[in-house]
This record gives sequence, structure tokens and C-alpha cells, in this order.
Amino acid sequence: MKRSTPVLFLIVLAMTIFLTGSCSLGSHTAARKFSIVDRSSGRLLASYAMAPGARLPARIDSYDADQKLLRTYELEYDGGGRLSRSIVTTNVVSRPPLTAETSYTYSDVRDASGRLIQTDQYSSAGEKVETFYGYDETGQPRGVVERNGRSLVLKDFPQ
Amino acid sequence: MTRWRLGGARFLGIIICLSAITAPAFSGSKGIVQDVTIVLEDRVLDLRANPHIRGSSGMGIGDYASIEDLEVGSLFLSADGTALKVVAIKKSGEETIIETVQPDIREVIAECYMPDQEIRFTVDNILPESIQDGVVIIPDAPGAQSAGRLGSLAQGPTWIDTDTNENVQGNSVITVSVDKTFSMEKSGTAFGILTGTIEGELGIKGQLRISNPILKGGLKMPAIHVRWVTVWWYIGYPAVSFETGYLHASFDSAEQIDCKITGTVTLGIEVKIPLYALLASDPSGTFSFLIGVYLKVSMEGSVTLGFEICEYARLGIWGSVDLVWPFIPVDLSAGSDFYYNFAVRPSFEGWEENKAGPYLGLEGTIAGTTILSAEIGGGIYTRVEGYIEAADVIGLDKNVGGYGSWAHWTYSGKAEVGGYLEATLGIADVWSTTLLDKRWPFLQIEGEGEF
Repeated sequence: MKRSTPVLFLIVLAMTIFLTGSCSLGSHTAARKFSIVDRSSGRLLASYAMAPGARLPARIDSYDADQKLLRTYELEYDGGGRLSRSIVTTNVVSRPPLTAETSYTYSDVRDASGRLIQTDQYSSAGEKVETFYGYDETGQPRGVVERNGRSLVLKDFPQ
Repeated sequence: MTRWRLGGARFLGIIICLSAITAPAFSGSKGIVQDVTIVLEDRVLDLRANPHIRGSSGMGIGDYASIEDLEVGSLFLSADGTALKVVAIKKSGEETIIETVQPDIREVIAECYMPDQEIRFTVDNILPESIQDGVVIIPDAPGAQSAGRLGSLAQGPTWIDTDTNENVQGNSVITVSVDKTFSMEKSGTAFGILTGTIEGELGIKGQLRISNPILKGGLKMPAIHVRWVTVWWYIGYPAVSFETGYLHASFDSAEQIDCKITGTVTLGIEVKIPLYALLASDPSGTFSFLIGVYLKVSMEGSVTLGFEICEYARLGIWGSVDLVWPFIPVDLSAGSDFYYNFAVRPSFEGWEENKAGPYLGLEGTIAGTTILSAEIGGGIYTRVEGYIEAADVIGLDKNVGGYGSWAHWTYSGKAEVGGYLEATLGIADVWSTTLLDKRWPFLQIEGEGEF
């Protein structure tokens, strides 16, 4: 017990330092803002607001040619980092803004070895977007295909 | 590019088969671009608001790209699907400023294919946020179509309701009422629509009707194929072949405007008065055609005017071009077809040169990069010095010539009144041409008196 006292003290001290550090670290991981500007005109195109510690934006504002706020995306994600809810507000000339709120759910398909080969996104607006993942013979990701209706957007990964 | 051909042949083959199954050679649609296949270059990050294309570089396949991944030279799709290239990144406290430029299309898109199809723009394609103040979309109501005409003016032979042309007859019509007033004492650029100087007030009131625009076309990007040829006596050599692409499009529209322009102004302006816009895009938002509908009024002089116009024009333009790698247009051909009917009752005092009429501006883009642009429109032009007032309507029809009463004019000075049509077509910022630029003067007078 006598030996454990200084050990306990050190543990408490370490936790205090860690928590203090976390707090000060927290101030560094405050909400961040990324502004996208057009170099030639200096015009602000969009701004992305990121919650502390997040990799994906909580809010995107896009601007028109007159630097007026055109559209705002408020975005929420599920535990897997996938878009779960969006509120898109579009500003309209001399009229109240248009707002569209959409929620998203997903279903995944995996192959026999457990690799993700397809994700289907269903929106509350009744739309479905399928995403397919391809792998090469060595199991490395080969490409991604987005099928939306009858149109495709795809990308090949570097080998 | 090469990687697709060498290592990813099977994967690409599956995709092409998938595309071929779902993409008939010719498909009709109602205002949505169908069956588009777009292959992004592998460096492009998907930063759309609802992303689907995830990257593999340094990430697991389940991760989305983040704006934090951007570095100088990065290419990405922004929230609205526009492709941008990062040229500088600066930090300022908690804010990061990312300077961008618009990249060359070949940096973003490796392949793009849009099968031949017909897109009929309807009222459903109108972008709600594009409807301007003073503009009201009126649902198509057959039988009430002529209600907006300036009664005594619309006495010519063919109007939008009665045209027998196949692209107009039976086609529904988008009708908008316009009631806009500009009161200004400004010079320079204002509201993003006006360039020049204006003092006074300008009012435009009337009705614009557009027979649903029809766009027909197809696109195939040119490609380069690299194949490694091995022979027993040498380690091998690359065999390079090029595949020619194409872009062809035709754009037909008919519009009728019945309006009154009034005001007392001193001006030297060109006003583009946006009314609304129509958008058809593929579901990903990467490939889109946007039609902006606007009035273009150019005026120079000092004038008190009361200018009633009733104008109908049907314009069709077409263009075809082969594309060689990377995106060079060759074997260009283009043309136009048109019909017009103008009626006008002008009243001016002062001196003035004036053009006014409705226009449709078409822009086709891939990831925000323009591949096709066109502007078609026309209206009435006048050149007046002195005073002129018509008691009755005068008009001009392409097929029957002048019509209406030419009997009662009061004038002093000289004047010329006519109609005009203009059409331009451009491809990928590398080629453009004026397909049509015609004027038909139907009144030229000089002197003083009544007639």
C-alpha cells in the first residue's frame, strides 16, 4: 500500500496532464473552415465547415457569381462515416429559400471472403444509388463504379 | 488511361457491358440526360456533398475523400460536381484557403460517352432558384394561349399556337409573365446583368412563351490506346493508336414574346435580363445541359420610348465535329434554319439605337467544364433620331413579307425599324462560329410629317 501511494499519485498526475493536454488539444481541434476560392477572380466559390476531429464537412456553403450565398448543405453521417441526412437550402431571388431534407440508408453486399463489393444508398426521396467495388487478382482495390439510374461514373485506381 | 487498357481490361469490360445493356442506341427522355458513362481520372477526389466515388490512395475502400486530403495539384469534384484544381493552399488561423483554377477537361475525365438521345426540356426542368423577381411561370393552358398577346399586334400569319413545324406543333409551351422595372443612375456593371450606363427608368411588361426546347446529340471523347507489343528478339515496344471521338448536337426552339418596353432613359447599355433557367443533367450531376432564358436589350442614346413588340421566331441550329485526342475538333460542320414574324408599334423621342428580344443560351458541361455552348435569339431593332409614333402595327413575316397598316405615322427625323435573328455555336472554348446574324429592315424613313 505504501508503494502504491506514489504510483497512484503518478497515475493521477499523468491523467491530469493528459486531460489538460486534451483540453488544450481540443482548442486546436476546434471547428475548422476551408474556403475554396477562384484564383483568377479571387471569388469565393464554397466554404466547408468541419466539426472538431471530423474528416467530412458538417456544412458546405456555395456562392454564386455575385458572391451571394446560393446553397447550403447541412450534412450528418452515420457511424461508418456515410452520409445519413442532408438539409439542402437553396436561396431564391425575392422568395423564401427552398429547403430539401433527405435521409439516407445503406445496404452492403460482401463476397465470400468478406470484401465489400457493393453498397446501395436509398434516399427518403425514393432514389437509389448503387456503388460497386472491383478488386484485382491480388485483392487490391481496382476501381469504383457509381450507378445512378442508367448513368455511370467510375474511377480506376492506380496500380 | 493506359492502366485501363493494360491492367483493368476485365474490370472496364464489365463496366462497358453494363453500360451497353442499359444504353440503347437511341433513347428518348424527358429532360434528363440518360445513359452517360464518365470515367474519372484516378487523381480526382470526390468531394461532392453526397459522394460515392471513394479513393484507394492511402485509404481503405470504405473511406471517403476529405477536403483535408487536398494538396497543391489535387483535382476534385466540388459540392455541386464542378471539377477544380488546387494551385495553392494557405492557412490563416483555423481557416484554410484553397486557391483553385478550372482544370483542363483531359485532366479530369478519362472517358465520356453519351449515346445519341433527345432531351425535351419542360417546365419540370426549370431551376426554381433561377426564376427572377418579376417573372411568373404560368402553367401551360391550351386554349388560353393567345390571352397574353398584345391583341392588335398579333395579326400576322403564323404564331407559336399555329406553327405547323414538327418541332413546335403539339409541343407544350412554357409561358412566363414578365413585369420588371429597372430604375438606375449608374455606370459600370450592375446586378451582373447590365454593362454600361443608364439613367432613368426602364420597364418591361409582357409575356414570353417558349415551345419546349429540344436538344438532340451524342458525345464520345477521343481516346488514346497503348498496347505493349513483345517479340522474341526484343523486350518489346509500345504500340500507340488513337480513337477518334465525336460531338454532334442540334438545338431547336421556338419563342414568342409579347411585351411593352417603356421608359425615359439616357443610356448606353446592354442588359441581359435573366428570366429563368432549365437544367437537364445525368443523375450524378457531372454531365449537364443548362439553358438560360433571358431578354437581351441593348440601347444607346437618350430616349422616351413606348415600344410594343410581338415577335415569333423558330430557330434550329446544328453542329457536328469529330474530336481527336486529347480534345481537338476537326471536320467541323454546322448550320441553321429559321422562321420569323415581327410586329411592332413603336413610339420614340430622342435618339436611340435599340435591340430587344428573347434569347436562349445553351451550355453543356462535364464536371463544370464547358464542352458545348450556343446562343440563339432575336427580336426587334430600331434606329431612331427625332420622333416617331406609329398609330398602327407594322409587321414582317419570312414567308409573306410586310403586312399591317403602314398608313398612319407621325415622324420627325429619321428612323429604321426591323427584325433580327442571331445564333452562335461554340465547342469546348476552342471553336465558335456565328451561324446566323441577319437583319430585316421593314421601315426606313427620313424627314418630317405624317403618312
